[in-house]
Amino acid sequence: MDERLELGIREFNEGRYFEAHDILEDFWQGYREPDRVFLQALIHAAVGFYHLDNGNLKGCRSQLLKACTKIRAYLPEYWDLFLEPLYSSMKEHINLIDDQGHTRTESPDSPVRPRIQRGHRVAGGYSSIS
Amino acid sequence: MATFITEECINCGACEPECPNTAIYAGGVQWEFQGATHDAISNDLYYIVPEKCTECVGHFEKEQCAAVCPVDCCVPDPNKPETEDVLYARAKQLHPDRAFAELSPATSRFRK
Repeated sequence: MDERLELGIREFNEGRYFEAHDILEDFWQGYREPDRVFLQALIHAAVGFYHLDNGNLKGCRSQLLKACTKIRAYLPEYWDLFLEPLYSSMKEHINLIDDQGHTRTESPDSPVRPRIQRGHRVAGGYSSIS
Repeated sequence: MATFITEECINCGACEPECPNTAIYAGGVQWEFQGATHDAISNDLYYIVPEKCTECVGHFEKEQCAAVCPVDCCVPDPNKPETEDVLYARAKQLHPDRAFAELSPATSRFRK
């Protein structure tokens, strides 16, 4: 896996969404479809959670929706990344915003932030690499 | 329509250097036009000055800010619909020293 993608995913998984977006944005520039759209979906996800952290629910919802729309074509895995937990979590966050105007800091019952997992398909499920 | 930047913007600044009309400014920065300065349109986010936006008509086949924005937050403003003629005239006004060729698919998104 490209070092920049690895670093971007690490930043995402540690909740540094602006940094994740920044790294993935540089990475994204050099790609063509379909990889370009996949990377853009990850950028939307990072920006969405960045907006959530900053209370911008409208921006968060729009970005997570764009991420879900784009990432659907790459499910369940792409580039050795197991995407279904990320996809499900983003949908859950969108639903909570629609239902409750949810933010993580306001609600102790909010879903945990997703991690982008490296992994591959095995019999009966997925094996996580890291 | 002039292009505008939505509240989805994350202030990465990727769009600003791409604008052929220097119509994009960082939040809080005053904008300039014909020797005069004006208050910022947004104090928080990058913004596009409608008076300086030509949707890249006269320059490129599509809006360059939108082309480089990974967030997809540079979008046409439905409240400011403008024709190709208006945008092209603005491009000429903004760049009086430049000789514009006849519009083509390479220099107007309206010609696709």
